[in-house]
Amino acid sequence: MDESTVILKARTFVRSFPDLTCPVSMELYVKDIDAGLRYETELPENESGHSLPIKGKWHIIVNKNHLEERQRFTICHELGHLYLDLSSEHTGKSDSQRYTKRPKNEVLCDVFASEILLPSDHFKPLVNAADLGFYSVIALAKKFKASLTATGSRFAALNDMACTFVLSEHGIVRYASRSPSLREMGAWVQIGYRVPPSSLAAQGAKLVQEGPCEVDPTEWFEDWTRGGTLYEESRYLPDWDRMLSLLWFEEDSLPAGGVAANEETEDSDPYCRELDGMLSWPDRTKKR
Amino acid sequence: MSIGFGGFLERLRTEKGLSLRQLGQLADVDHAYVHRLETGAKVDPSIEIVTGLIRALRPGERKARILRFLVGQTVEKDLLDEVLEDEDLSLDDFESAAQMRSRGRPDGREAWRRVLKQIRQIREKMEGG
Repeated sequence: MDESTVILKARTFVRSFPDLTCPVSMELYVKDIDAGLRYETELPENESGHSLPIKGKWHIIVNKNHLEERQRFTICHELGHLYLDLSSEHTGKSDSQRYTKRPKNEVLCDVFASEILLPSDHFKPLVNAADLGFYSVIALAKKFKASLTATGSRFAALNDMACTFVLSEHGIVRYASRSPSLREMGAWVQIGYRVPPSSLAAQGAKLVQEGPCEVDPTEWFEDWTRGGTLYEESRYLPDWDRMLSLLWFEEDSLPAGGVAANEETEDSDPYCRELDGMLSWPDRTKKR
Repeated sequence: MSIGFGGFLERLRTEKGLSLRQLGQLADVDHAYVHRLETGAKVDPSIEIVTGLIRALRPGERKARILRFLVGQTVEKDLLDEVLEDEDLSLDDFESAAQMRSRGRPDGREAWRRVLKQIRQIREKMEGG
């Protein structure tokens, strides 16, 4: 199963609830697939939850000690395992928070979770009605009862404007989600590299600025030659020494020119493509 | 560390002090095939083969059920050891735990005890206990 299939299945699942309201009801989802739901206080901090088949019925167990937003993502992730019939691929680690080297099925269940927690039919119109900036991400996260990380990722992936949401841990970029228009421009954030030293993200725990600042796009985007004024807003999450950054071009500061030449370079390497929640259909013209 | 049908078969054979050849003769199975099962080169033995091996090994009802369960799948060694050492643990609960889906596997015997406790509580509630 690939990411595109998972997205289609998730959207089919969501659309089976014609009267769905946001924040989406976990109980509604769980009931629909005839599973049980149990909030457990005795799970260790590094275990978000799991699913168990007991007497012919699946039960989702969630760590009640976690924040409600995280619990909701965990439930949606476990629903992914059950709805998509994807088993767990164990790696010997209990840490569910890692962004590197995660097993494929776990990544696919995260994709499913994002799709049903922040359904595109409900989320996308609000994203594109909102101003670009972290305060919009915060407001949407509250509305959908989702974490800033999950909401920021979807905010960029479904945005019509040129923006990207970057997650870094211990000063290293771990994940980036780009809007379609930024992808078309060929803006590529390198995963696994240190955040730019002049960025807000590089300030880590010392970051005090809450508003946006102008940054040089060549600092963030690999091989960027197109100019433009890039804005960055970052938020520090002390629990995991994690930084969330929203980067965007304002409409009046867009880079010049059409689609960049380096777009083809990144599309030719599908195994390194970032997760952004967008479908990627094969392009016949390129095959010829 | 996980263990599958072959690993558990080897454990039962050595517990009985049988060689590959002896087990093969007792179960009426080619000993080379038994070796391939134990090394994981073959993972999907027929019901007849499994029944023959159980008849030859006489592992007891509990271990025989576990061996049958392990055809085509693996379990964590810590979970298997837990259920083998505690005869009071329900095999239904063991099979539930073995099929657990999670974002990370339980690490160590204590973690599996916790999972088995959760399962027992949910099962007893379902049974109205």
